[in-house]
Amino acid sequence: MSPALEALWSAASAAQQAPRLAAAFQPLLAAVTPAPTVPGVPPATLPSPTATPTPATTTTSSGLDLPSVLLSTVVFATTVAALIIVFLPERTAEQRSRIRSIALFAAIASLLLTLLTLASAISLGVQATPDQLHEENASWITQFSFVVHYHLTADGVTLGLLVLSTLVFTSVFLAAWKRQQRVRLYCGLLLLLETAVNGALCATDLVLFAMFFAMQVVPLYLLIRCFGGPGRERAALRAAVALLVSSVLLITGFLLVIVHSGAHSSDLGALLTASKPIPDAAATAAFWLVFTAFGLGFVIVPTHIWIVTATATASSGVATVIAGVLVRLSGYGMIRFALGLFPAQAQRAGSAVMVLAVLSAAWGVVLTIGQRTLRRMVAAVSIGQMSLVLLAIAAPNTISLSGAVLQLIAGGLSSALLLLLCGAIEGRTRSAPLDRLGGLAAQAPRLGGFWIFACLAALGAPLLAGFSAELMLFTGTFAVHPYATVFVMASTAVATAALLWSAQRIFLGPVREEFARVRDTSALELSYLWPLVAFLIAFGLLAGRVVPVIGTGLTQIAASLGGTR
Amino acid sequence: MNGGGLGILVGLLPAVMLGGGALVCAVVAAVRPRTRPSLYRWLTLLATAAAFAASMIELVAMRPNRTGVGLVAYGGGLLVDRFHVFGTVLVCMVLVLTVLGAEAYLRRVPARAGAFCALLQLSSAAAVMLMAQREMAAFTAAFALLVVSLVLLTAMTKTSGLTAEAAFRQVLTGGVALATAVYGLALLYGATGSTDLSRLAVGVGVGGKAVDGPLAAVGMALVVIGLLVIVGAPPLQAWARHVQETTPGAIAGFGSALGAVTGAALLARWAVEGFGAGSSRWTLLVTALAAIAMLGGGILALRAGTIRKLIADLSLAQAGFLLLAVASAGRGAGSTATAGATALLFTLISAAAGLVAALLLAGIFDAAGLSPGLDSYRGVGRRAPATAAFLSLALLGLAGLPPLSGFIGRLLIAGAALGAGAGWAVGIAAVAMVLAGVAVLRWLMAMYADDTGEAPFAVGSTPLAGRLAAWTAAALGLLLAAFAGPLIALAGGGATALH
Repeated sequence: MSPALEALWSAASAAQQAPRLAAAFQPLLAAVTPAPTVPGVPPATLPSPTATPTPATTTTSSGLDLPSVLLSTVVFATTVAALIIVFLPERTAEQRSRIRSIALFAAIASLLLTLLTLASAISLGVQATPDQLHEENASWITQFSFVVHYHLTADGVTLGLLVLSTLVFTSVFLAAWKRQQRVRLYCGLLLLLETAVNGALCATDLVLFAMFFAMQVVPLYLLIRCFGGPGRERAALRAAVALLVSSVLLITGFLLVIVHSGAHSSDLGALLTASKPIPDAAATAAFWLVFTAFGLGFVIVPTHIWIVTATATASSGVATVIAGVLVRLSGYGMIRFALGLFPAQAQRAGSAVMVLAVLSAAWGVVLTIGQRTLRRMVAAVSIGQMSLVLLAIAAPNTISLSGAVLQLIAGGLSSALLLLLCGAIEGRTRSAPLDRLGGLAAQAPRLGGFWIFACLAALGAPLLAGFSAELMLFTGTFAVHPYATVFVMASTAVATAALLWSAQRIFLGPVREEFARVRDTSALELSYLWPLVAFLIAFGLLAGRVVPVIGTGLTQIAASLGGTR
Repeated sequence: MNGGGLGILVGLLPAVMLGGGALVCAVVAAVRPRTRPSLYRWLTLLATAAAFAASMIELVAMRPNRTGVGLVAYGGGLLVDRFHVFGTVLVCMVLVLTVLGAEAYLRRVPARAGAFCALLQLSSAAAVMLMAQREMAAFTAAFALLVVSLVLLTAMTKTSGLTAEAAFRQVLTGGVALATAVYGLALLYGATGSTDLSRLAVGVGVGGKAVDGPLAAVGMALVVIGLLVIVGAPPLQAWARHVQETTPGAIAGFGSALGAVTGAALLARWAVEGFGAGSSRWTLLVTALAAIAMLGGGILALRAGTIRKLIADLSLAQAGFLLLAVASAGRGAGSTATAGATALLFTLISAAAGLVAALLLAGIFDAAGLSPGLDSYRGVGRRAPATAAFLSLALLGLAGLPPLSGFIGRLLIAGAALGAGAGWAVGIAAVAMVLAGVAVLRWLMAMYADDTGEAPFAVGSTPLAGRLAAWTAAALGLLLAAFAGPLIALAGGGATALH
């Protein structure tokens, strides 16, 4: 059976689970109950969603076992599209339209398959096994001192972020629908970047993750360098160096763990259940290497500069990907690997991480208030959002970590919405600085409405995804670091309020003559803005169903943390 | 099995095939000087196929005993094992890619086609012979043959005065390398009383005398330095840079790739197997030189002003990684040593393919009239998209960026080095990787971002076969990564034989 047919078969099998959806409702607080730890039993021996060694199959109603390729399809559909468009000409408008269509089709296919898997996971709830979530596990490199696996899983943490990634990329392709210059290069690089991000999110083998993570470097560099605004040379170089250094630190840290674990495997599940403990010195060194690697892409002080610069300089679509997806990928890596692999070291470093979170939050406020352009302001708001995630890492428990993951999703969606709106506003006002904007609401009321909604989403207004996330973060971290929690929360609120104030500066006040002919949102813009709005509301309203699914991905981490206390 | 007359013939068969091919080409060129170049090309491909088939026969012959050793002749002086077979197949791959990629050069100078193909095969035969040698006298003879044939290959191109200078430098450096290695071997002979490397490996000389002391140490160091010259690693790496910068793409690619493959394989054979695993005498020297090569190559690549300089600098860094793998194989014990040798053999495949691809593709742009400077390459991504894309792939592979096989090779080397306790060298390797990555990004930026708006140009001056060979070599970086598992298994088989 061809891989495409198998993918369809897997998707159909996932769809069959839909009737269970109604029975899957569980209250929010039940989901955030700390994971059970068995007295006297080492936490590493508890069942783990990533430790299943058997290859995944999709059992059909006929009893035929087929290997699931759904996750591979999600990851590599965009690569296939990139390879196709490389060979397509782009001389005429029709040819360029064909290239855009192929890119959009691949992105939508990935999004739909991800949504199907998420629906399946929600319907199965906490009982979902890796097999049911289309885990793929095959040995890739066996004849070496350690075995490397082609191991893709989609537990709750991954799925939420995968939805974020595929949705944001789809929105960016839609936003680029009218692009006429160098369409092939733009779409090809974005597709490769999507492969890298989705692959990193699904990979549970350390080497595989590192490969996908490092794959971001070249497409991102070229996207900033080729399609950015003034100052793109420096911004692109900074981004490339930061990501290269990050990748190298990550690989070194991972190798230290693999070599010292004695597991002879680079699979996360095998490393977590390795019988031989990693020497403390090696584990501490590896923790700081991995922490620094992800910290470089995390928008925290002092490594935030390249991200703020890149977000401000890159084209609107690329900036959306950076702030909406790439920054969140680093957050995911921090939770999955820095915390998951080194729970004891992470807890020892808790105070230092907390100080870093407080500093980042404070600096985020200063930066947000001091910015003169919209993009920089939005990028600075991300610092506050990510300092909340960092605070959860400083005080890790099931509640705070579930909140952190939900915050990554909510923050990613709101940042993406804000940056796409920035692009729309810049297109209408020719990138005028903040102090020269005003009165746009008269001509573009819908645009103003979207902007205010996005600001509220970033603030964490009730009924939106950010609200549940911040509530859980507050509940989870307050008991451990009460003052820091209050400070970071307050700082984030101030920073976002400054963003909300920007709505008044941009949209209200007297109509300026130069913007008198500004038009409101077009149908094309609505096509990529509405889905982001819908998902922000959906994640907010359905938090009670989503959080249990996220919790399935945090079981192992929570169990390890329980064991180190 | 111990070789009798027939066994020795089987052991030497790949080299005999290639040597025979060289002889036929030389005779045809002498008797019928106006023969079409395509005939030489076909003869070379035929000889390569025969050598490959002979290697497979050797592999089948050594299957029953499972030790990876197929033939031991001349009291251990000639050793045909899986390591040798792996090296032979690698040499055949480089030869085929070069012969196909050199079509443009052969069309330009048809009169030299016979000599060119003969020298390609002769140097390949010497390389294949060398990888099976553990006897000092035979090693010296094959080493000399390799150096001389590579020098002649460079010298015969005569495309410019710079090529002649490169050949002259290669003669001088090759001579120094040969002399250094021979002097080192002489000292080792003095220490052991035998020309058999296996005596050195067990640490017992003729008459039961223990092999130790300064004589053996200096001898080892000299042999290592002699072999490093062939790899293109410090301290005598300048010749490799000149050859890569000045000779036609096919010749530069062949010389660099064959040098890297043969030199690294010989180092592994002589140093790891001969000087003994766990030795700190030579491993410290090789690790230090590896660090210098990795870091030096990365730093130089940052400022490379021409595409050839960039490739030369990246290949210097690549040589450093190869040396780190050799040192890891030598420092470690048991599985760690095998991991180092496995990493070396896998990296050799990707390094050879990457070097040949990059230099062939640079040659295609040369032939299209593009000067090698950075400014000329601005906008090439739009003007010649396919060739530029493959060149990008080759450069990224040489820099060791994911998802290409160069990255997997570096990962394996870093894992082996950490296992062997060379953490500081892994740190330097990490820095070198970043530097090489930034250097390649600088060129990609010129190719894709700095579009000057000039009209597209045709790369049709290079025949289709030549372009296909270059593209295939570049695409190998991706394919080798996708099929890394089976390839590492093969490399592991070769590595097991080494110990």
